[in-house]
Amino acid sequence: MSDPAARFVALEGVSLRYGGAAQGTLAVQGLDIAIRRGEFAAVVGPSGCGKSTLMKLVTGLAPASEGAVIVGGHEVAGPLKIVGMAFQNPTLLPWRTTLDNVLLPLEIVEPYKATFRRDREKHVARARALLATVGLAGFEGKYPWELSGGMQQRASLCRSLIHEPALLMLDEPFAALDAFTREELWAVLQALWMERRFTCILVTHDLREAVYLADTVHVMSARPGRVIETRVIDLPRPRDLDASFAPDFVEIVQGLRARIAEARAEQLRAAA
Amino acid sequence: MTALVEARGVTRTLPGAVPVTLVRDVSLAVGPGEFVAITGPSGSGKSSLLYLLGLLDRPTTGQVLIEGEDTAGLSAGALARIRRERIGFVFQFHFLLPEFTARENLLVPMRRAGGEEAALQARAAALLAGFGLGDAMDKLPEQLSGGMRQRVAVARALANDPALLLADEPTGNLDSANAAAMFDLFGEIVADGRRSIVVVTHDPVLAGRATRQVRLVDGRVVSDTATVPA
Ligand SMILES: Nc1ncnc2c1ncn2[C@@H]1O[C@H](COP(=O)(O)OP(=O)(O)O)[C@@H](O)[C@H]1O
Ligand SMILES: Nc1ncnc2c1ncn2[C@@H]1O[C@H](COP(=O)(O)OP(=O)(O)O)[C@@H](O)[C@H]1O
Ligand SMILES: [Mg+2]
Ligand SMILES: [Mg+2]
Repeated sequence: MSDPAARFVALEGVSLRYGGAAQGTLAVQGLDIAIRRGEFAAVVGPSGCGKSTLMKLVTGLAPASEGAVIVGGHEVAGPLKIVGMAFQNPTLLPWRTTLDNVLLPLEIVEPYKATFRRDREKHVARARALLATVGLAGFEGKYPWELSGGMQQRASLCRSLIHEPALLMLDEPFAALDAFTREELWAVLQALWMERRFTCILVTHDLREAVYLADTVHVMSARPGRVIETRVIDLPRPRDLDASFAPDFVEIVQGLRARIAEARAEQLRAAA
Repeated sequence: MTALVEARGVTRTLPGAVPVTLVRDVSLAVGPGEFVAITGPSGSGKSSLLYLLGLLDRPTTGQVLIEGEDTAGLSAGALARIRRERIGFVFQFHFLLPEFTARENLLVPMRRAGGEEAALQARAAALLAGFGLGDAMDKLPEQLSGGMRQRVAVARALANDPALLLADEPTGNLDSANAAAMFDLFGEIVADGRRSIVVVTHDPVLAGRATRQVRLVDGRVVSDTATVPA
């Protein structure tokens, strides 16, 4: 408790009920989680267990019905400004080039907004460098429709990081991609994170993805969701695809899979 | 009367071992006050034509003119400028930035065009209020219904008061009541006779709310008729 960096993101006894108190859906209940500053955390669990709800709670998109949500030492009371986000849905504006899409947050977020026009050249140089690190050098002038799905998601990652947010929230960002492209993007995201060390919360249903990328994997129960297990992944970095087939990696994935299977079975028993 | 956008004999072929022709010899002029629906089966080239009219793609042969000006020789930068100043876009997905409120989403293109911040803020608020989004302006896209999100997207497309609004299946994610409401809104937008709208839809009932219907098959215009008022 005394070290704020250890609880950069913290949910304490949080519950959230959608729609009226009596008949509404209790999405999460008794949700406790603590994420260190600079940590890469993954959240996994059965479908509908409240993973996206957790994202909404942390970013202030939805208020907790009970309990406290703390980010950067402050209780979250409304939408946060210090986050970058990327989702499965396409969010690159079709009428802007890749470069102009990446620059977008700088046109909106302080301290960049105030001086965006004056410092444009500097920002453009930064955006180009960032695009180059994800393998998109030469594509700055292309429109989204001219890029593959994987390239669009690389550009989206750049856009969510250009304003150097302290916290990056990723909700199933690679779910719509084919397996090969998805695995390529794990490496891209890991490289970005290792270089920049932002705090990252990744929601995914892909357990290999979670173990490849995260320092800690939080397993949620079936709805109403709460964290039933937190697994520290102390595999060395950078991790690569070969490592993801090594016995220690596979064993962790199997352990997580078993835990989720148990959670689903409990849910079925409760429903019966 | 100069057309706000005109295609003259436009063909678009993707090069490759087996070239694919998306749009074939299309000529189409859209004047102020017109509300044109582009219809046709899936894969008939509707989106491709809209991208050409919106200067997001260039014809292989033929010309696209904006307010009488041929865009063929223009640089990418000049095209981007025309797009920013004179064309608004709406797609099936709203493309609102999730981190930012409805109002902030409108301010993005406004700030780019320039102007005093207080004036821009006021204009964004007025535009949203005019679309029945007065209570929604300081909400995030996540906090709005699908129909409201799409109205914010339309408001954003109109943020810099473009003469031309281009929409590709803007109601594709909406239920029929919200879809009809969106087409009513388009009717209101062109009512003062200054602007024109070209909207791609595969829904014949919605297309019937436009003032003119252009049907594509296999990249070609097969009919172009004024809607007979019901
Ligand atoms: N806006 C909402 N209104 C009502 N119920 C919702 C809303 N969002 C999510 N839910 C319900 O809350 C539960 C958790 O949803 P969600 O957090 O999206 O789960 P996950 O992302 O793990 O699939 C589900 O039962 C879902 O149907
Ligand atoms: N980048 C592309 N590469 C190859 N084929 C394409 C590409 N874009 C579109 N097409 C093809 O061109 C045709 C026209 O597409 P489109 O304009 O999207 O049609 P519509 O919007 O009417 O469904 C379709 O057959 C589509 O599959
Ligand atoms: Mg979800
Ligand atoms: Mg289409």
